[in-house]
Amino acid sequence: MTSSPCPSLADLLAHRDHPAIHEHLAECVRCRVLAAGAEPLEAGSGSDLETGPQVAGTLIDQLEPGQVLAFSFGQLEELLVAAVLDADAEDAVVAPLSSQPELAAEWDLLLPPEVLGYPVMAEVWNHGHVLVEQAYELLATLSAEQLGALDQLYEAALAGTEPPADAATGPIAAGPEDPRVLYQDQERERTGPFWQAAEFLHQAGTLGELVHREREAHAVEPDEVEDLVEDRPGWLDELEHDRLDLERELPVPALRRLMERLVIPLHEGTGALVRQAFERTCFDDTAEGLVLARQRTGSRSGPRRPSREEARRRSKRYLDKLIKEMER
Amino acid sequence: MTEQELQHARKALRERGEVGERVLDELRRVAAAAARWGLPPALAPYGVWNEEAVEEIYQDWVADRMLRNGGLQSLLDKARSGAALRRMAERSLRQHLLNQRDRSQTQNLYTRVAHVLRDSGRFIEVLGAARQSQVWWAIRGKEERPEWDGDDDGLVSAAWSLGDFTMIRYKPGASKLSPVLSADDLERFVAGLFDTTGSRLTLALIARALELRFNLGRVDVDSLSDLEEEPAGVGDPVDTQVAVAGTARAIIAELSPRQCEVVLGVRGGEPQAEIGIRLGCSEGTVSNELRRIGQVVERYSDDWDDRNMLLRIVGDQLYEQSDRQ
Repeated sequence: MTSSPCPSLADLLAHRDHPAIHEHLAECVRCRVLAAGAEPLEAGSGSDLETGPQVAGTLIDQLEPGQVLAFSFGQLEELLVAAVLDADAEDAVVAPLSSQPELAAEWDLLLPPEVLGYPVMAEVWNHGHVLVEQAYELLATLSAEQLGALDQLYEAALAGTEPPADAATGPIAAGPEDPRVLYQDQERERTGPFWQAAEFLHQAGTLGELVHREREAHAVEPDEVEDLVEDRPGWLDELEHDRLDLERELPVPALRRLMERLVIPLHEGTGALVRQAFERTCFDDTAEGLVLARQRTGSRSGPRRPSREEARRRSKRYLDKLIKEMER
Repeated sequence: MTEQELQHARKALRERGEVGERVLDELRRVAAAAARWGLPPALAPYGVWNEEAVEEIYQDWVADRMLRNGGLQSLLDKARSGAALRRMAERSLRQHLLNQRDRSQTQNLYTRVAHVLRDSGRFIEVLGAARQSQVWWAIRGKEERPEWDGDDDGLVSAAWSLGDFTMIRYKPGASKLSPVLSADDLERFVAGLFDTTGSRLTLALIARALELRFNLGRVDVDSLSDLEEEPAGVGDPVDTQVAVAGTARAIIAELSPRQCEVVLGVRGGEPQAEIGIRLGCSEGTVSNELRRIGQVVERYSDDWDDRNMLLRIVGDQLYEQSDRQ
């Protein structure tokens, strides 16, 4: 069965010979039926199938409760629109928004069209974790009243109590036969991929731990990858112990080749790990040689660190280069 | 459209209410392709898809669903590539046409409710009123129950608790079609509503429950006496065959790849557990997928014969293109 989403009929009929469609047709019986016997359509203004989504770098630095944003994950072509319930510097808890409020049940808060331009429901029952890196675009901000209502419903869900009596929700779902329960299953499936980055990050720990674990899982010996970085013996061991200065000692193409060799995908979760590893080991330019030398030799005088903003700016630049490398 | 063009389009619509030509071109392409190969003739304004029909549904869809009701903003908020925008727009168009069909002929459903109340023998008029829609009815033998005095929430809650019902958009192969609940489902709905609310009900209240539960448009129940059900037309047998094949293709267009694989599995006699293993999902997921497939197919059929025929043709069309031959 295919893992790529089915193209629209417009793409299927106009671009049947496009490699991406061709590849999809080989795997998807549904689309083969739809394409069979149909006359090709004129391609119109040409195909934009080559210009799929790019892996987003960090676009928004901080999330706050009440923000409504679109979130991305990897190269998924569809975005998740969700309201932030809770947030810290690394990640946030969000409630996905659905544009089918007619299917609201008791844990779905109805939000009026004034918020986004169309009526939606916030699926409090379907809340999940996203990384700040996944924040793609700020779409709206809830009013204090709306945020208060959302917060109350979320608190009630966490506490396992009844929804607040005055909450603007749908009627109580009437058990497994209620079609809204089936819709909720579909929604769980739709939103599931967007939680993967935070799950991945929490499970992976650090970039070093991830690299070590994947290297062992793929039975790759250190000397098989050591030569990815020339004239820098021991870099892999330092990377796996989260001590390697990525900016100076691990060129982006080498990290890209390492990730490919260990089959580590690049998405917002791995991006966050790279960024964290970078910021943990990056130092001020002026202190570079001395500071690193001191650190390695156990000197007490600590290295000078750049400001948080400067470290973030440099880590973003490194990550952007990695994204471009991976997209080649 | 590139990711960047989509970001601009999203912003232009939200901040300035502007829709660019590029976006409209995309929507027009979607409508033309879907009408040409993914929608059955019965959904065409005059029973056949031609340039005029495509233009008519395009204009109606864009004006009503995309712009007036914020549908375009919703699509743009979720789309990260031109391909995703077109994919979601196609779903939106299909849904729009099915809903239009419902709304334009919803009155028939209420006429049938009136017939069920009057003719089935299970219900009794307990309190007259000047308007037919305000007459109070009760289940025969439960006449002592009070009149319903709850609100819309209570009513729709009771309606949801009655379980699954499928709206039939049209019969395959027919040229004049109505959205209905099957006769059995309609009576189950009406009787269930009386039981769940534990009340007497009026036709207006039952109509309101139907509107809310099935997301139908508002109708004037006071004009019911003027209405007669529209009989389904019977076409030429060859036309009917073509229409049925088109309906089966329209059903497949509504299914996901996984649902198509489930249909193939069931057609080949594969147990649900094995289908789940083959598709890398649980048996429960397969069971849910079967339910969803049933909902899609039943939307195009009003009895078991139609349903079974369509399922067979859907299965055959999939089998012909599968690796199983």
